[in-house]
This record gives sequence, structure tokens and C-alpha cells, in this order.
Amino acid sequence: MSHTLRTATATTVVAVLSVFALLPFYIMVVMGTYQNEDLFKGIVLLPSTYLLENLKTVAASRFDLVYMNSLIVSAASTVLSVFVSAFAGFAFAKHEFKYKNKIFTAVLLTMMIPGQLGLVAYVIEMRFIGLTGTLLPLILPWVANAFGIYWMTQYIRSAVPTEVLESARIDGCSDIAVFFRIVMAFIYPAITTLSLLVFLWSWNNYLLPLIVINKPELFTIPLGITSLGTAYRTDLAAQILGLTIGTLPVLILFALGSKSFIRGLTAGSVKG
Amino acid sequence: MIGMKRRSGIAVLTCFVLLLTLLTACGGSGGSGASEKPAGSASNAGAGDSGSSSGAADELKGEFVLWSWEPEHPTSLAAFHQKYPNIKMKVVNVAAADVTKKLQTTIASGGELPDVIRIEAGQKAKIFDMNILENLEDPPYNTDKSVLFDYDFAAFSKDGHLIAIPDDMSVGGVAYIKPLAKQYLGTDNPEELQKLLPDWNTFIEKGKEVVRQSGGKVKMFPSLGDVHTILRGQRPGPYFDGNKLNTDVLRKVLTDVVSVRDSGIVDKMDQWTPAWNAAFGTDKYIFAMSPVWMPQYVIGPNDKNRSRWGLMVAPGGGYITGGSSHGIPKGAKNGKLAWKWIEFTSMTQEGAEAQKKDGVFTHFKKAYDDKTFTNWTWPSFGDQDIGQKYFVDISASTKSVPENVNDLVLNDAMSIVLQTFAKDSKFGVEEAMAQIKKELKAKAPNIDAG
Repeated sequence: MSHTLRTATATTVVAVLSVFALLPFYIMVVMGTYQNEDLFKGIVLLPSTYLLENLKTVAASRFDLVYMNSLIVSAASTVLSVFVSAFAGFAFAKHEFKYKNKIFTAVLLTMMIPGQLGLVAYVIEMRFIGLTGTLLPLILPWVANAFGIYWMTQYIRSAVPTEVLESARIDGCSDIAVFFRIVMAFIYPAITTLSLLVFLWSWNNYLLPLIVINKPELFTIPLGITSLGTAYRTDLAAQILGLTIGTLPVLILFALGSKSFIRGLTAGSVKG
Repeated sequence: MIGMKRRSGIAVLTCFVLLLTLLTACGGSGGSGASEKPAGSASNAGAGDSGSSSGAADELKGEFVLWSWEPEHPTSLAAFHQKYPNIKMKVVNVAAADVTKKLQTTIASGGELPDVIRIEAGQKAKIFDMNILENLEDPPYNTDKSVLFDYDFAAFSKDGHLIAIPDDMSVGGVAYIKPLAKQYLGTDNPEELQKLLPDWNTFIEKGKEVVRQSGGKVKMFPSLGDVHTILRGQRPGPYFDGNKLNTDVLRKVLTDVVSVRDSGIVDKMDQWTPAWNAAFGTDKYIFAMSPVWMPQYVIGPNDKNRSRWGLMVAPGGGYITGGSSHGIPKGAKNGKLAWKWIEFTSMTQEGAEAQKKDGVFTHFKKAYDDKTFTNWTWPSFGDQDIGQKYFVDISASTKSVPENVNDLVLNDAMSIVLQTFAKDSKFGVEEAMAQIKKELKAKAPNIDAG
């Protein structure tokens, strides 16, 4: 098989697979331009003329407020989660201290407990601290993120040379300075990957806001979207438009960080 | 060396704090010294800032919280605010299917329950069984039961006490697309159609003719679920005597559903799916189940055409399905204010008239003494007086069948069986009975399935 033919075949296969992957997203965008009643009369491939009406329905549900809440929760969760995970990962990977392995095992064990099991206790805890009625209960679970700690520990172990850290210390660098000046530079791909994952998980979280949030002004996107319609008539077109708008930040983040994301995911796959 | 030790100490401390946070996020403590009022405690419904129930309307002041899955009806809300200008309502949107989940977690965590909950018919037995609702016959509510229909007391009571007030009527008939009925059944007159299709056997025979004539393009119903909803409402007795399953009643319903399925006159759609909703705007199905709430909530929103539909009594008579009610949780801070909302919308003439403008018929009995009250038209049904059809013709052939919490378990099992019926033509009554008994045994061992 000639090189040209091989390239053409590969390109065709990739193109077909891309169509399969992107078509649902395209249809989601197009469905948001239809009137609800016209959505299921056939496969919708071309945009319709109902976009403005659907936008009005979405806007009438105070979607801007809901959107802002989701942005605050997801951004804060991401920043805090990545910061704490990277700090803890640095400690586990590059420091020796008493009970290190036992503590690390305990952190890993918490990953085995399904989140739903601790939900009631978590709500009680939030009440006890007096944080109900705020967005903080949606942010705090991500701050202590066992997966993030495990991920960062493994990454720092393999990607940050101990010799570089020791050189920095010999030159008089404090531990905090070593972390921010040296370690951060090495673990940029892992930070991007973890940021994207935490942002996505937090953005799509439905159960915790459903249980914890009792004020409409604190609703996040998953809760806000369910209110676009009634029990018997769901305005799916408006909901789909809401989903499209809700997907935008995640898409933008993936577009910006895709290279680092893939580098982060594939780190350690080849022993160097 | 000292620096190293200090660093190690800080690292251990950081790890312990982190681990503690991790564990609390997953496990948490059982602390209960919260500043909020715990749910499920003794009633203090009158202890809010609600004032006296016997006081003037404008003396009542404050805000109550309602958990509901839909915006409250605008005309009745405006009328309520006119009568009680100082009472505000705060609606927290909770999807109908999520209400019990949120209630259970809130109660378990000692969180603050709302002042009133809208209860969807499908969730009613479960919420009633949680024993969290106020007895509305006790002060400060003192429900005057005589203003409701007699059958409401059995349907909305627990342990002999009224614990919820029905919001909307849920008696059901069958809606039909007039041009299709005219073309395939020879008439679009509801009374003539009722004579033509008095029972399910005749309905099946006529349905076969319709399918034959249309070359299979037109069927009688879009979903077997619609047929089941009607047949379940028409069943000869309750599914359960306490915890004992009445197998004869269940077998009768299943046999009728299978007869309709085997005749090939019903399509294979799942009920309440987007495609099912879209079917109302098509010309593929002559009939649709149609309880009182259906024109406003389902047919109207899903079919833009006006005057295309007619309403008739279902083959075999009327039935009851769906609908919602309002209940006040024990310990509600502003239960008294919430009660004013329930009382106004569901138990007064003004409320009944305002609700009617929103397409909702309440259970306030006295309103129906005036024969003109039931005069009701809806754009999808043109100038047909569907109020007259629902509240005179259909109501006359409807009976209420008691249900208990076991019906919910059966409903879950039945929804699986209905999907199997639609997809597998060899799945028959005996297989369905065996499947349901197996499901009941697994999910509710207390049920005696025979």
C-alpha cells in the first residue's frame, strides 16, 4: 500500500470517527433553535428559527444568576482543589515524615467510600458549622480531593527530579519557594489535567446541590435547567439551549488546555 | 537539623488536617447543635410570624417556602396576593421525582423542611408513609372537611386523619383527533363515538379496522402505557388489601393490556418520553388518555393546532390518574401562612374561580353546585364544553380505587413489564405475573404476593 493511500485511508477513518463524535454536539446546538413541539418530528440537522424564544425562556429563569453561581463554585473548587492537592502531593512525594505511608494509605482508602454514603453526615456537618445557605458546601468537598492528592503525588514522584530540589535548597530556597518556583514548573500538565477534571465534575454535579441548596438564588446550572418546564411539559428545546450555554466554559477550557491535558494523562506511560 | 524536624512536623500536621477534612467530607460527624430548627420535631406551626388565623387577612405577615416542580398558577397566585398582601411565597424548584429524595436527606440531616410541599400523585403514597405531614384536622388548620368531596378524605388521609389537600381534579377521559376520527370511525361527535366504542372489546375490533384501512399508518394509541393508565384506573378493586396482593385484580388488568397489545392497534412508544409528547402534534394516533390536567399541561403545549381535539368517555368508563396535593411538614416554621395558601386555592369559591382561569379544577365541592362553573373550553378542543364532559358524563362513570404504599412498588414493577410487553410480543400474562411477583418479593418482602 502506498504512503498516499495509507494517509488517505487514515484520514477518512479519522474523519468518519470525528463525525460520529461531533454529530451529537452539533445536534444539541441545532436542537436549541427549535420549538419544543417540533423537536421529535424527525432528525433535526438544519437550524430553525426559534432560538430567540428559547433564549427568552432561558433568560426568564434567571439563568445569568445560575450561571454565575456555577462559575463561582467550579472556579473556586478547581483552584482550591488543585492547590491543596499539589501541596499534599509534594509532601507525600518529596518529604519524609513519620506515618507518611499510613497517612497516604488512609487518603487512598477514602477514595473507596462512595460519596453518597457520607452525604447525610456532610449535610449535618455543614449545618453544624453554619454554612448552609451559602455556596461553600458545594466547594468544600473538592478542596479535600483524595483523587487529586493521589494524582499529584504520583506525578510529582515521577516528574520532579529530587536533585533539582536539593540544589535549590542548597542555594537557600525555602520549602515554599521550592514548591512555587521549581515544582510548579514541572507539574504544569498535571495541574491542567486536574483543573479540567475538577471543573467538569463540579460543573456537572447534581446530587449535592439538590440536597444542600434550598434557595433558588443559589441554584447551579444542573438544578436551574430542570426548572425550565413543568412536571408534565418539559421544555426540552430551552433545556438543550441551556445545556449548550452551560457546556461553553468546559469547551473553552478543554480547547485552551487540551495539549497539557493529554500530556498530563499520558505522563508516566513511557518510562524515560 | 532543627529545620528538617520542623518541616517534618509541619508536613505531618498538614497531612492530618487534610485527612480529617477528607474523612469529614465523606463521613462527617453526628453533631446536632445546629442553630436551625430540626425537622420532624413537635409541631410549632403557629409559632412563626404568621399572626392569628382568625385575624384579618392583612394582619397575616411573612414568607412561606413551597417545594414544587412547577411555577404556581398565575391567576390564583395574583388573587391570593390580593387577599393576603403581606404573605409572600418563595418557591424552591424541586423536580417531582426528586421531592422524596430531598425530603429524606433533609429529615435525616435535621435540616429545615419547607412550609408546604406539592405532592405529585406518583409520590403520594411514599410521602404519606414517611409520617412527616401535619394532621390538617388539628389546630391551627382545623380543616372543614365538608367543603371537599367525600372521596377525598380516604384518598388524602393517613391513620384516619387528613394530611394533604388535593389541588386539582384528576378524573380522566379519552381525547381524540377529530379529523382522524371522522375519517376512520365515521364521526367526530363525542356522544356518537361513545356509543360506537362502549367497551374495550369493541374498541379493539374497531382499532383493527382503522389499522387495516390506513395501511398501518394510523393506530389508536401511541403507547401501551396510555392503555394501562386507563385500565388501571378502571380496575374492579384495589391491588392490595393491606400487604396482600389481589392477584385476580392484577391478572384482569394484565389480561386486558395484553389483549390490546396483541391486537396491534397500539404503537410501541414509552409514555412520558419526548417522542411520546411530540406524538400529540402528529396525525398517527387517533386517541390519547386525557385526565382533567391533560389539556393544559400536555395536549395544549404539545400540539399548536387549535380545535383539533375532542373529548369523550373512555371505553369502559371514567378513571382517575395523576393530580397533585399540598401537605405541610411537621415543624414547618410558617405552616400557618402556607395553610392560608392551601385554604384559599383549594377550599374557597374565590380560589376555585381563580384556579379555573389557570385551567385547574379544585376539589371545592360547593363550586360545582353552580352548573355553569363546570362550563370550560380549551383552545385545543375548540368550542366543546369539556368541563361538562369531565364533570358530568365522565365523573358519572368513575369510581375511586384506594391505594397504599405497596402500589408504588407495584408501579415500578409494572413499568418494566409494560416496556417488555411493548418490545416482546411473546411476553404474556403469566410471564408478567411471575415477573411482578419476583420484583415485589425482592423490593418489598412484606408483601404477600400469593
